[in-house]
Amino acid sequence: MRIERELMRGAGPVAVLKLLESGSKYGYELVEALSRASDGVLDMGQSTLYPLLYNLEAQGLVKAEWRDATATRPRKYYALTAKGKKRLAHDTAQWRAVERAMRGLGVLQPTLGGATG
Amino acid sequence: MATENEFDVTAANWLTRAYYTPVSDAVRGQLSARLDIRRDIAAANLPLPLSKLIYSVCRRTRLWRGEKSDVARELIAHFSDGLAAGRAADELAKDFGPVEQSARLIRRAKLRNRPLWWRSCRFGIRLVLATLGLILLVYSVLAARFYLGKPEVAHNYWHEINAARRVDESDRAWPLYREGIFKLGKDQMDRDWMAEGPTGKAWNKAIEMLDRHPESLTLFREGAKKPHLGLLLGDPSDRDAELATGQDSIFSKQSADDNEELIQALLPAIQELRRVARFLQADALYAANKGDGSAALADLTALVSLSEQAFQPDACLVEQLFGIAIFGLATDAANRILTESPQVFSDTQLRDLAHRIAAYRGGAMSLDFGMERMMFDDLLQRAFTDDGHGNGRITPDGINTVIGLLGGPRSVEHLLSPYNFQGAPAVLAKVIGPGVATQVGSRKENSDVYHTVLDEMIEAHQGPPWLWDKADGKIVERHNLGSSQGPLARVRYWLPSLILPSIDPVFSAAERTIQVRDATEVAIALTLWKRRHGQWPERLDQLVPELLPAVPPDRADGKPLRYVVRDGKAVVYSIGADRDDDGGRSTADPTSAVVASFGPISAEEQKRSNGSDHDGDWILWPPVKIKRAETQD
Repeated sequence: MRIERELMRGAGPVAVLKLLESGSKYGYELVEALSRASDGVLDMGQSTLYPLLYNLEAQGLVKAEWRDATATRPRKYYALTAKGKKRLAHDTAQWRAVERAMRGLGVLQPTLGGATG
Repeated sequence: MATENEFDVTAANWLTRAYYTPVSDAVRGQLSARLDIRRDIAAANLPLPLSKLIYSVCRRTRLWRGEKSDVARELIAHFSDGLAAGRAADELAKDFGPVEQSARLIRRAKLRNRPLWWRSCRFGIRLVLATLGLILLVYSVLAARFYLGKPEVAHNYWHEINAARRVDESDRAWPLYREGIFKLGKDQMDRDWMAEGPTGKAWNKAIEMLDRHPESLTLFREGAKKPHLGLLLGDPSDRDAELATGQDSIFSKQSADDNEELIQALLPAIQELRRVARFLQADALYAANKGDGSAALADLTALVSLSEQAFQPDACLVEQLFGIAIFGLATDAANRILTESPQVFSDTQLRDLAHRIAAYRGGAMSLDFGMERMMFDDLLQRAFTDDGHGNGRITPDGINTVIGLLGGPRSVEHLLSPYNFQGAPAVLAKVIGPGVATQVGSRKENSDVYHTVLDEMIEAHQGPPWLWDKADGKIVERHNLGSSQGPLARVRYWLPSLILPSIDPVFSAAERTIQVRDATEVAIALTLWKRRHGQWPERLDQLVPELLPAVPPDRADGKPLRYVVRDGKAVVYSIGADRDDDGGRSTADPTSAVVASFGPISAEEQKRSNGSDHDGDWILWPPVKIKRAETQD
């Protein structure tokens, strides 16, 4: 299931930041990881991903670096900055609050014991 | 994987290579063309659809060459990774999404990554352009609003004034005066003949002219007996009567029905009535010289009545000043007769004359600004739009009309004059005009300010002149109408500042007339006293109450009118323009002692007057040869 554009606009950046938490990644790697980790729900076209990355870069949440990963072609790697880590923590907390609220409303099924993680 | 020729840059000329070479490479003398994305795309050896997609996206981003190169390299890496992962080129292209949207989003995001100075400049330029656009939009609306505004002349003040002046035909003096004027033809009593009076060399000419027109004089005296002047504005019957007598060019062709600007109303009848007054004055002196007291009294009474008739309902200031001047001719003639041939009048005739003069306009000298207000309101309706509730905005036609009337260029340029734009080209004036016009107060504002200032000015001149609040200037400044105000204030109350009447001279003229009237009353009482006692009284209060109800005040300072007997002659005088009692000594030029402007004067002004041409007294009786009739006429 693909999610609505408006919802994606909120979820996309935090999803990318989360993926970068484990280490720097290049564009195609991010596309693949996003699709895999979200079971295709957060699939985004590259026409959306790269502008998203540039925006995060403009905000100072990620930094980009060209690396010659292979002998044949260089790749541009993105990594979280300190500011990006803070934002990820902040956004994660917000998403959790939203999740709790949704569970409270019955939009999401409650987890056992009512825990929300 | 073949590439198309369009990505083959091996044959690019040096100019193209230079264009795509970064400055850092160029300074090292290398035409690297590193920023040419076609070269990178060709080198990547991608399938043609992907190469085209990358090129198309990058080209459409309209980014700097370095930024495009960066994006191109990243997309090349992306698609290369996809192909390496076993994805088909078509599938990768499809997943990428729409080229247009991608280019737009990439451009937007990349611009956010540009240096702060660039983003600041961009923001500044956008802000300036947006502001200019907004200004242009607002100004266009204002300009359209200004140039489309049309005044609506809905009210005919001529008819309103004429309605107030219309009286029963049998009560109208004007037709009799008019008939007498027609009989005079071009004959005119020269002021110079009158100056010396019966003792002058030119007096014979005056007598000849008087003897030629007994019918006119009879008509003038009959007219003076009527209760009303009955002179209408733009009355076609004046023209008709004129043409019926075979004369022409005396009366204007104006008609009240045409509803021209009221301020344009021509008053040819006033000029003609001035001729009437001079004939009556000359005849009074002539009759007195012949020893005919009755005829002299009749002429003087007729002059006083003519003066009263000039104060018609809604009389304009010009008409009222004319009335004041005519009364001045009457008192001047009376004073001359009382000096030169007082025996011509019997005691009874002197009393009658005194009563007639004292009863002039019921003893009051009030001035009416009704027609001045109407003139202003008339201009308002011609200059401003009308929203139906007494409000509106200035219009180009209105500006042209008003300025045309006042003798200025009929152009919106006039509004710019406070801004020193007189020399600006007409086109520029037309462009700037609407902006300046927004600064002009509304119709209601201009109306309120005019009437309020006029009310305050009139209020400041109430009561005796020595108690006036000489605050004309302060009132004008208080309402931001003075010449010392900035252009904004002057433009705001543009119309009142142009045509507010100067009040002080009008009230001072009335005060001079009161002063002369009072002195004439005193002269008559003195004449009667001398007849009874064979000599002049020592003091004026000896005349009270038998011959005078009270000693009238010197209107220069409020104290009793001054009096002295010198060389066997009685002298009645005012302390004059210098507000200083010089014991009845006249100045070398007697006119310079006449109080030009009544009201309190400062100690500094008085100090300046002493020793100047004004140092001396204003001799009221006996009349000195100062040609006062000319001064007041």
